Amino acid sequence: MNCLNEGTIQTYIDQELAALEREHIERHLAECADCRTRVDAAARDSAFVQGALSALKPNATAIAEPGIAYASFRAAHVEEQREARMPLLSRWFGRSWTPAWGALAIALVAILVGFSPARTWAERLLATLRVKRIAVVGVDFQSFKGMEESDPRSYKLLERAISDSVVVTKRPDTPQVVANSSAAAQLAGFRVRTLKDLSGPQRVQVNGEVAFHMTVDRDRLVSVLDEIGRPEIQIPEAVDGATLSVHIPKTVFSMYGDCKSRSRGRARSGKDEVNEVPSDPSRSNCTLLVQAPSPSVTVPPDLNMSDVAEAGLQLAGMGAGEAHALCQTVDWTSTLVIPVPRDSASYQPVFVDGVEGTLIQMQREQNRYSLLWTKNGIIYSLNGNGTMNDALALASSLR
Amino acid sequence: MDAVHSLNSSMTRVQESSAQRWPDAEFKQVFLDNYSRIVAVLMRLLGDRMRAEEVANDAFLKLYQQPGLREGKANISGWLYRTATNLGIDGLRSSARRGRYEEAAASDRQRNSSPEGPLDDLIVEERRSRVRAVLAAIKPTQAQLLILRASGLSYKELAEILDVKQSGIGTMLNRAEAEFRQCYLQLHGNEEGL
Repeated sequence: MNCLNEGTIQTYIDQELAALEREHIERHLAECADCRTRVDAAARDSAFVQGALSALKPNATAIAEPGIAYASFRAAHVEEQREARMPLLSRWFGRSWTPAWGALAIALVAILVGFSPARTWAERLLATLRVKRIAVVGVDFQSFKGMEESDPRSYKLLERAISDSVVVTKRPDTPQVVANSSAAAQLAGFRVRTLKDLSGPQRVQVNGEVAFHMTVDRDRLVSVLDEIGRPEIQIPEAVDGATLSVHIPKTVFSMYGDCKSRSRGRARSGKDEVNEVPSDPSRSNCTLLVQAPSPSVTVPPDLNMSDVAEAGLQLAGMGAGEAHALCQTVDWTSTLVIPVPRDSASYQPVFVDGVEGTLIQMQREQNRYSLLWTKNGIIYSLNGNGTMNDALALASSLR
Repeated sequence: MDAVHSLNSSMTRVQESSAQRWPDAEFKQVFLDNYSRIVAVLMRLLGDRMRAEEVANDAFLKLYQQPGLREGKANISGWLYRTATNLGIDGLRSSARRGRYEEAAASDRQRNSSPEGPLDDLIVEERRSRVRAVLAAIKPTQAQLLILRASGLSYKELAEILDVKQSGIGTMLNRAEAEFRQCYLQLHGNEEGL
């Protein structure tokens, strides 16, 4: 048997091991002086902590009888709320803010979750991060159920809390429609590729570059999370006052087939471009290729974004444990994490364009796929209709 | 980009689903089943019965406002423990920021006077406020884990409440205890003070 790790020693001291495992460990301890010494030291340290904490044991004080507590809870909250809430709901619950909330949640998750400073960069004043990989994760939007019941002003609060903290330093110009891919390349400043298997593109559009920075106000975020009914999410203290600067370079959208253009309302926050889809991808014969140089995000080097990421993923609907586990595995210095709702899309790793990518397939929109990968600093997203093989074949015709 | 589009429509769908609400009997049962345990943990954390009951009420109110939690696999007790201890730790931290520790300890003394006499009370309270100062200073997730463990929850229960694997609890506790110990020594000097 190998020597014991800290977790096992702790579990042993806490008497939380199964009988069989305990036997194994005691056998090992009998013959390993080194581990015996470590267990003794750990037991002393643990006794110190547990002794300190046991001082908190309350003097015998009667707690209110639950039945009585419930009656007063009910009188204070339940009856009064039922009366107050319903009219408010109908007044406030407009659909119009729903996409905005979605966009903001994604922007928040993408920005906060997607990046983290490398520790080795700590000697620099600021760390600049670029996307090298994309990780798609499944999230469960069940947790949003029930939020509608509470006051929809909460969504507005979240939106406002975010937009108040954002300063747009470079507002995007109106998207420019250009004649062809080489004109787009000239404008965007990187090599724009085309799909050889399709004729066209029928329309090429270049979205302007955007830059903004945001300063995190932890107290405000905490109170907003409270308001929107997610008080169990912990926002790390360290993010308070942290400033993130985001620069999103020009992005090229190439549309093949019948992609009717649709215009979108422009959000105040300057984050609309994150969500802007210049064509309707649900149209059956529309294929959309997006080419975006990696955005760069600058964050304070000492900020531990893995904690922030956990909060972000939970907000996006991932279970606390799963978020925790994921945050341990992702390299936050270079990974853009995209949450995808489990109930409406499935995803799998694929080999595309010579690199590893992810194929997302929508369950409700038949045959709709989205293929994502990054190569040479460019993020690609190919969106169309068909099977996995169709998607991969089309991607292989990229020139 | 399509993913974003799909997220939006998915969220719209979620919000279009019919409005729900906790059935009275069901909510009452959850309240009765969990109230005493939640208040007991909060009393450990905050040291004050009134405050503990207030915070417990806040946690139940938040639960009441989220009827969606009754559906599916949500572990309601675990959610309550997490929410209540988060609220409690936030309270502890803001008291610590405002330097209200001594005050809280004093009112605690008055309310919870023990038969051992005032001097013993004073020593006990001094010790408690030191421990709470440490809990307020370390990472909230670690404080949460320590207070729940100190309240007598098993590894299995902790794993359920925190929604993590049981096999990871030992390591998490080990780190939390190390952090607590280090912070205690920093704030209050050597171990003899305890």
